[in-house]
Amino acid sequence: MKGLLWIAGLAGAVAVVVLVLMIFGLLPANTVKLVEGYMPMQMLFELAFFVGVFSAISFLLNKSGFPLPRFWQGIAFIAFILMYLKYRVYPPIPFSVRAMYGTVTIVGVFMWMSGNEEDWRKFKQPILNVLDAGTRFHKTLRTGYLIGIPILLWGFSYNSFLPNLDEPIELRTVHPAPPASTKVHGKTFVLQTSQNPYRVNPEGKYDQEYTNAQIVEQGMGRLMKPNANPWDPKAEGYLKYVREGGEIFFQNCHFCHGDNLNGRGLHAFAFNPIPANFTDPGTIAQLQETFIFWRVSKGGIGLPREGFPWASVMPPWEQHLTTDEIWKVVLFEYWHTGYYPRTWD
Amino acid sequence: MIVTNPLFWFALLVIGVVIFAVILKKQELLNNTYVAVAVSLLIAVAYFHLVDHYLMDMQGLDYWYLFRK
Amino acid sequence: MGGLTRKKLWSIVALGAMIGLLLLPTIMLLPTIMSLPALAGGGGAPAAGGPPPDVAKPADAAAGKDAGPKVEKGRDVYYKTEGIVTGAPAPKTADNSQFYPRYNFESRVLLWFANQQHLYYGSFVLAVPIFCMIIEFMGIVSKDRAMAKKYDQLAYDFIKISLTAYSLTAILGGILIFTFLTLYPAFFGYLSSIFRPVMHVYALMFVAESGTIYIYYYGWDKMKEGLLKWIHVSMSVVLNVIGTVLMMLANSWIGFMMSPAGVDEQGRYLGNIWHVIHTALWNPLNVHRILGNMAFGGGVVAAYAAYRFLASKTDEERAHYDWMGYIAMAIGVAFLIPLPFAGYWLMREVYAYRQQMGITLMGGLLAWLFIIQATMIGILFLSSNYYLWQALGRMRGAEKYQRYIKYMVFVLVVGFLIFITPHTIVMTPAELKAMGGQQHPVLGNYGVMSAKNGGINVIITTTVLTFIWYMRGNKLSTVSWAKFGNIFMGVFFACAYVNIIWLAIYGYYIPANVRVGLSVPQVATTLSCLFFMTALNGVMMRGAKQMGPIEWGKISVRSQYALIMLATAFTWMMGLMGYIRSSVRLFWHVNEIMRDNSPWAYTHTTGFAANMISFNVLFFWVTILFVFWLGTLGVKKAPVEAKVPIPGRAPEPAVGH
Repeated sequence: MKGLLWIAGLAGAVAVVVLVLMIFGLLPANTVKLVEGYMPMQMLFELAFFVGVFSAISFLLNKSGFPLPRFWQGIAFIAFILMYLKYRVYPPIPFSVRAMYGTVTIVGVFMWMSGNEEDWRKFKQPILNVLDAGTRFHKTLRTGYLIGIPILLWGFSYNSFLPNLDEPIELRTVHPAPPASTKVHGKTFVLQTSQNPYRVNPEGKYDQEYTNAQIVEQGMGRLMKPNANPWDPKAEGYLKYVREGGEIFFQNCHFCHGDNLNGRGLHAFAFNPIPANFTDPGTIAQLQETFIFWRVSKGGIGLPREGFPWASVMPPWEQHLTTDEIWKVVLFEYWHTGYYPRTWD
Repeated sequence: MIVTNPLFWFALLVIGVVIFAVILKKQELLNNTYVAVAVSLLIAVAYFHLVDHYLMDMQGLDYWYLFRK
Repeated sequence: MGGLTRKKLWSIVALGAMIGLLLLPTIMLLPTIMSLPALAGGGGAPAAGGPPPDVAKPADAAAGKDAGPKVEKGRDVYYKTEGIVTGAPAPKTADNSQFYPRYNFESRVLLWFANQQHLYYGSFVLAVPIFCMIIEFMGIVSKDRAMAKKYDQLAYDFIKISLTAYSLTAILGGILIFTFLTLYPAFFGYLSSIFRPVMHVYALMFVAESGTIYIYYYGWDKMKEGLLKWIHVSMSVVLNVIGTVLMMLANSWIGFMMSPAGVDEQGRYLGNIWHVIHTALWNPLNVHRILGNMAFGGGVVAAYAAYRFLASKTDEERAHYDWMGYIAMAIGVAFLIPLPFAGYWLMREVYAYRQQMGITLMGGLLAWLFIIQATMIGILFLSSNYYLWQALGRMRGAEKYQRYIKYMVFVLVVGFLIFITPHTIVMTPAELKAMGGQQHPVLGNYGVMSAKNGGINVIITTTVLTFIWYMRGNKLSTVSWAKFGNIFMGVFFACAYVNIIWLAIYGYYIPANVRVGLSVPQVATTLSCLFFMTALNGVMMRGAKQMGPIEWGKISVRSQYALIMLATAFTWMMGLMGYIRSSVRLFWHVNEIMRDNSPWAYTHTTGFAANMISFNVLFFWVTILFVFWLGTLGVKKAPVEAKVPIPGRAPEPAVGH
């Protein structure tokens, strides 16, 4: 058991050193890779790992007679989490989310520190020591704080009064609520009940199960299913429509949405925000097919009032494409990303 | 695949419970850590698979969607 | 002896009178119900839902009616049945003083305030009698005489508080109606024209509720022995039935406003009152509100106890209020645990009713409010866990569990973080560019339902685990299979966590319509832990060795602040959710039937709404403190009384309410 703890402690120390070196650029930032597609779980496992090894280290230090004071354990842990969130996760997490995470972490650490009377007393001790200023050292420290904290506050205030040249934050609604029905080329589509006329099985019936089985493999490779190649000249029915949708996509859409459908097209970075990334599980994978149909037909101009500010420059495609073509493009987008449209049954 | 069959998990659960009933008579086995962990694991794993399967089934959905393909 | 029999007789008469009062509205409603089929004609068979089986019927009914005076038919917007138009269409309002008379102020905000305060007090007086019922019952079945007395006294204290709150509720209800009548006459006129019979029943039920609650309260001392006590408890059941029906009737109005039924597209009433009441969202709202009220009531009472604890001067007082806070908190949390699931059901029904309503709530305009709500839920669970950990401190022998608190904190915090990760992230354009798009590979995955369900279930399971630790804090199991039992519990919990997390991850790999179903086994996993493990723990702890008594009053001060935090979070969240539920109608008074043409049809900014909610919360707490203070005026010695077993309670002065 003790050996195990030693191994854990050593592993933790090495991990922390590696992390610090990576942050300071002394080791390449991808020494320990963040694996695309598994990042969410990887982050949780890394955090759990650090918590585990930290307790091992703390336990060992305690046993060897060099206990780390409670107070500093808490402070160090908060600092660690803040650093981890800021420097470890890439692409960087926006400040608003880091602030939320940081606050919750502080609350969590407080709960840990005050979990029982003994811990709480130990945690309070250094603070009380400084306030009481019983020794010379603490007295110096208290004086230091008395001078330091106002300076710090002054710094904050100064900073906040500086003119800010950043663009303002906007609260943009990513999925504005669609209308109950939409009229495209003189035909009314009820969003709740409309179906893609090209999502059909060989008998020509609407069949989501059948088409779901034909889409590309989800995940990084995005491999086509065997016997489900839309570019096979003999392809019929659903797969043929996917191909047609693909042709329309590459004639019209890929300039912005990219040839991988990930929103990184040729013109993408001329826009702010950049076009939607269909490969993200938060976009088309969350939505009904009819929602996409509506968004494509009406474009940025057709967004509802609540979608303000209409930070979308997508043209209303109903002016350029027929209804059938729009449905085919939607079909292709789902096929290519390997997602299934949302359904309500 | 046999794992997608709820009867398989049901059988595991029954086996777990039977073993428990058997060792209930034998104090030294019952309070042996390894035996206890093994039996508990058997029961819990089987139980949760049954929960997953039947509660999806009740909604007319297939829990084993990914595994059947 | 003769006196006692007469007492019994009187109490039975009282009970009978109450049941009579309860039945009265039903009887009065009878003519309306009887006349329904006649009114509704051929197509009006009160089908409970779904498409009508009698599609052919209206045709020949119409043919038969051709000879008679011409009747206009309309189609139910929700049930799709046909019925004879009996009401006027929903008024088309315009922005003028005829439809929207106003002060030089935003009418909507005044109405909001009146509504919210009425709701706070209404919830409180609905919830507290339910507690009374539970606690009084616990007192009766308790074998320990001293304990029974304590429970009885506690229940009495509760009802005393709720009596003052009850009259305040009525006053606030009056204010609310006047606000409606004076500021929104057209809308309120329309609503009351449709709900006419329901509103009368509602008023009668209110009378019944008042009668019952007064008999219940003033009969407490007269009915404290034997059969009489049982009659007294059954009276509380009647009281709560009336209260619940009252609430359900009130819910039918908001249900109608959100998801109208029983009217045609112009809003004309079609003669079937049941359709109007039983709208798509009525039952989910009912369940969610009952549970919510209970949790809220528990929170308020716990905060009261915490306040009294902190203000206590003697150890006895501290012990009493510590105990009271614990009981109230336990009841509150017991109803808090199923609350997210009821909310989930409501949300599902909202999506099923109108997709755009669901998206407006969860992904669109109101999504940020839901992040705030998630935060509040997290705070609720965190503070109740924290309270229980602190409560371990008042038991000898619980130290062995306190060592693991840090790991529990970690699990809770991780679940919490995932639960509050927003789907739509606030960021500066620079951050947006750095991230390379709206979606983040980590946060994007946390921000969706699959992960969040995992997060909240982990939190609840951890709460269950904490609770079990608390239950066994000062005890040592003596059953022969104790070791096996402990290991089994450990393994079961571990497997439950694995199952929850696995289902959360699995959700990303399967289509959305299968994915939404995964939440059900997830919930079942959590509930399995709750029921099986609590039961198993109970069996294991039977005849367990006590390592020391629970030292009531020895709890840390921090725990009491946690209780106050809990109550504030409840209140705030109730205000928030009420606002969300109401504003999801956007610019409609009655969704898709009656448009709001007042200048205030827009949705408030998040900041304004938050300030308004905070104001409502503050106002509620100030007034409820006044109510509590009134409660203390009557008796000054309640805790002492509860402690010292005196033969009979001193007669209560009537100034208590």
